[in-house]
Amino acid sequence: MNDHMQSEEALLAGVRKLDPTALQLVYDKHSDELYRYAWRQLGDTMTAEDCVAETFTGFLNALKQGKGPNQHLRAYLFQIAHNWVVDFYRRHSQPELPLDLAITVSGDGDDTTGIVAKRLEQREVIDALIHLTDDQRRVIVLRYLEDWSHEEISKVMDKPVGAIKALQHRAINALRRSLNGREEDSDE
Amino acid sequence: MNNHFIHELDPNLQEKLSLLKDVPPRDLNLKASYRAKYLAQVQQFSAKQNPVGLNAIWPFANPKNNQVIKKKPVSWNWQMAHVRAFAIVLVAVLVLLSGLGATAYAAQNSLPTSLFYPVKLLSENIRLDLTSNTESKFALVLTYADTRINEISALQASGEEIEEPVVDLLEEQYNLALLLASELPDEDLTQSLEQVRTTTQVQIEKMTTLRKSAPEESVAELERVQEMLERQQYLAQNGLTDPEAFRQAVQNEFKNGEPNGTPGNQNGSNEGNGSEEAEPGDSAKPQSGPKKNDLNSAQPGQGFSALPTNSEDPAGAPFADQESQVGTQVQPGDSNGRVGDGQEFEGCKNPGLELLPGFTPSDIEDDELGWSAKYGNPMYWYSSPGKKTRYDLYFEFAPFDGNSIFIP
Repeated sequence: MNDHMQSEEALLAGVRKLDPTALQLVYDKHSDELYRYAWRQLGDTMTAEDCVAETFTGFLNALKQGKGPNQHLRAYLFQIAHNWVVDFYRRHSQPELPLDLAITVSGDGDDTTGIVAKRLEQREVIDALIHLTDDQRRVIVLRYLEDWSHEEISKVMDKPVGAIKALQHRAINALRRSLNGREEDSDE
Repeated sequence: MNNHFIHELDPNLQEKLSLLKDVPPRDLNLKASYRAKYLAQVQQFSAKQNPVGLNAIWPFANPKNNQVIKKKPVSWNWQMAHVRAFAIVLVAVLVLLSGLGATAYAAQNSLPTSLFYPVKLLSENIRLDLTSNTESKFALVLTYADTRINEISALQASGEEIEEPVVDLLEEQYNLALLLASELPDEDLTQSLEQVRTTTQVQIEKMTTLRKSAPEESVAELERVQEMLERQQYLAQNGLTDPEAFRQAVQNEFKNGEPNGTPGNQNGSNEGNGSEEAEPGDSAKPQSGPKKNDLNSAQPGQGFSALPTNSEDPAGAPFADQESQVGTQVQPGDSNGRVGDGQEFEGCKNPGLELLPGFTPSDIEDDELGWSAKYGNPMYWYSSPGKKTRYDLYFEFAPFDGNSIFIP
């Protein structure tokens, strides 16, 4: 994550100058990880792509108004994406996101069953994550799926590291409970 | 991708979460088309003139820009803001501080809401700087931390809200205390940590009492204080059993004058010792096992569960830096959610939310309306990325699963 930080600073300088090359580089550098971040909370390709697109639009709009990140570019982008996901769930009371099968089915016909099974399993975990509070979910995703350090998470969530750790602790408990609850349900 | 931290989890959780590591590959055509759209926007965008140039020359043109990322140490920032405003007064007061009556008194006993408070902080910092002996410095900063606690009590007693900067400062001073202690030789270290332990114990008890009578707006900050105190206690306890590990942990985390240290350097050393977090080998236990015991035994019934059965939702801690929704009204509907103070309600859709008192939508800049206004709901909003406003409403959403507990 160290070199992430260093080149990010250089990029940020270009971004603040509204250099088109820098703005393009930002996309190329961050859009994939933002996509992954979104997908892991949404479980759907199109929605995740929407999220990424809107994130970058929001980013440009902010720059247009003379705002935008003063320091942490990556954290800033992740914050926008986070807000988008939160708002998505707010607007869709019971999101019926389809199992993300479109891509997989067109691939290896042989392993379709395996892939479907995997998607079902993933869906379960995502649903369990949805039951967490926003902040709890974010800590889980950033820490265990994106491998961010507490310091990095602390910056993007703007809370002291101690609070992040406390959040993490509660998040883990909540996730465990949520997953166990689901297992019991499926046994019925 | 590295799997650095997933070892903190128990194997079952590890397995489940690892499922999500495997994100289906992004459709390249889709990606290309979205990318092209973005680049088109960029071209359009750079062609226009924009006011950012002005901003680059004089960053204070738009004051809100300066609050994008909270800088540490908070205490200095806060002081600087006041110092600018009251520069002349400060000089005069400093002269008077050398012991003359009313002004000195006013400063020494002032609360964070007082005009003299920055002077108080300034004099604390000056004293700290002038103290070269580590042990004395430690004792001094510990008394300052205690002063913060007293200030918090006094604030509450006079009906004021407990705001974030005070808690930030408290945390900072405690972190400094631990850091100083870590620089002491074993004997003195033990003595100092004992002091930390007993002091925090008393303060935790104070906090528990305070929270019972606290108004909604202050609960989150008070909880944060309590959590922080418990953590300090925990660290001190560890330091008593394993001084060397304590020193390493504390110096990694608190050095560079910043509580967070430098990102990216911490992982190896922090994760490497046992005093703060469970070792990777301890994945069988939930992470921060001893801490869990502290919290659960200290406040039975506090319930650090995600499905709260009481209104003191520990999700209050995430709200610590956001105002809860005051006077929220909720209409029955078909979804549920969790309102800022942690109350969970059942069967409500698009709850009608009241604005915070004294605040109207027109006060908020377009940017701050963010996504909510965009999607047609002007009643709630949250801060733009990296920004924080006093008036953020924080609304959490959890889909109705039939198991929610209604808190009237």
